[in-house]
Amino acid sequence: MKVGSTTSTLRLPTRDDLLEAGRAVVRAVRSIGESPLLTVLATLILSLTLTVVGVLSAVAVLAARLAATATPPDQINVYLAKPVAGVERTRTVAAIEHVDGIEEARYIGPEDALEELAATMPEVRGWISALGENPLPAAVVATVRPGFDLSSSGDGSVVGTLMGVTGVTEVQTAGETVGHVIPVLHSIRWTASGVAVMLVTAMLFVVVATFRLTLEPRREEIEILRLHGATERWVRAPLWIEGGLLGATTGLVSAALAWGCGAKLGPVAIPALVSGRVGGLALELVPISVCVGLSILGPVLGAAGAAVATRWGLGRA
Amino acid sequence: MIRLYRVTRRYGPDVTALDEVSFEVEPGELVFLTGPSGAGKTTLFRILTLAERPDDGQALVCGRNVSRLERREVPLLRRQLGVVFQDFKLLPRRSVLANVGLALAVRGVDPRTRAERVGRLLAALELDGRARTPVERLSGGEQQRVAIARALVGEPALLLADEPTGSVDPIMALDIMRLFERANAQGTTVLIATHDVALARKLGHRRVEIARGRVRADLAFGLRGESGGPS
Repeated sequence: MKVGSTTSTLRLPTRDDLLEAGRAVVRAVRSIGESPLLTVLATLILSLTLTVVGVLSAVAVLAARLAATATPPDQINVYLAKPVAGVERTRTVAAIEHVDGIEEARYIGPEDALEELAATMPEVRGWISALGENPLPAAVVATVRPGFDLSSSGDGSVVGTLMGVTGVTEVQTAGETVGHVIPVLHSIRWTASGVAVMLVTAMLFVVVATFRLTLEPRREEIEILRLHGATERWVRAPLWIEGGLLGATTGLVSAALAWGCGAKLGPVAIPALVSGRVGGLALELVPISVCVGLSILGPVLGAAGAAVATRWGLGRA
Repeated sequence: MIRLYRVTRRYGPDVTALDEVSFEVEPGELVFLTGPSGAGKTTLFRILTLAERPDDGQALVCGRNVSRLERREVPLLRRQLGVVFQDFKLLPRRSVLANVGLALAVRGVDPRTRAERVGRLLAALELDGRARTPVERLSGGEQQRVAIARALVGEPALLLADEPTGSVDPIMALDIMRLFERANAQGTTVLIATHDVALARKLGHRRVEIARGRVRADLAFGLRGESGGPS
């Protein structure tokens, strides 16, 4: 008696293939239903871990976007020893505007500074009233003339001239601030990315280990299936689908949790995001792209974990 | 249907489970493989069901040399076999219907056809009233019949039964043997391993006697006399 041909070639799926795939999905769903507690526990643990991955990814994305847009603005903050008014204020502002490269200057008193700060961080008002007095310094915000290259013309000389103006105690160029912030943003970005990658790797191991555990009680059943002529694909496909379905659930739950974290916890954790804008850049703590990424990563991790677990745990017929 | 030529199977250097076993089973035959416990019957069954491969010699099942079979060909050959295992190998928490239907499910038979064929067979084996019952709630005899139903439902070319009457009373044992005879009458080749020589003798079919891993006698149609043996 001749055994049927086993030559496999690439071809479009036939009706029978689709029916077989459908039955594999049904078997996978039944199998999930047979151990609901383990399913819920595994989904919960993996969802939480994947949520952390999502938040870390969002932080990395955010840091990268901030770093990319943080070009030195044309602004210099000139801090004064004390608030000035009247003629003295006019004279100080004029002296600053007179410096080569400065187009205009605007006086900001401590109360104005507080108003500006409170616009993005309302709680600041409460903190300062608790202090009893406003500790914010008086300052003049100087705008650099368009086209004037502060760095090539010698940033130091402009700062030096400004420092020579009567009543000035400190001069801070935006370039200085940004120069300090960008490396920090890059560190945050790479650290968050690294930890996210490590967590994903750890998750894969957890999925593989969990799946191998769930395979143990099924080993005899799989052996029986094989003895009755089940192909390896027939045996393994429902397990892969099961992993994919669990992963998909995990991905969707974690995407929802991460989005929730961004929407609800983000503003508390990062007050600057209350307005949704920092430095003219529209921000969201967990962008939709990260949520979509989590929804894709979940089933991929689940199916890959199940595939590795079945390869290691089931052996061959 | 089965051709064994000097089939040898060893477990380590000291244990030889099968020692140059040779015999043939022609299509349409019903043959008993008898011998005491530890004679090598189960090892031979494991080779015939492709669970093991011989260390030496050649074993041909349905025309295929099991030693040379590619891994992906194994399931296709197994689908031509119906096997009743000594320990039944049933899924205890699954229903009778699911256990028997499993042999058809792995062949890709659609659920409706599966249900029809399984239903007919269960009726013939007087198990139709228990179709939805989990196997673990059945008696030993009923489980035995479920295992036989599962082996028969695929209408196999070759039926292999390892101690199929091991856990039933003599009357039930005879009934089970009649089932195999009925399958054989419909064209299925049957090989039954049993230590119950009396039962095999009573039914009067060809009997291959095995002891200590070697064929001791090949007795045709219940007649005493060496007609084969190791060659």
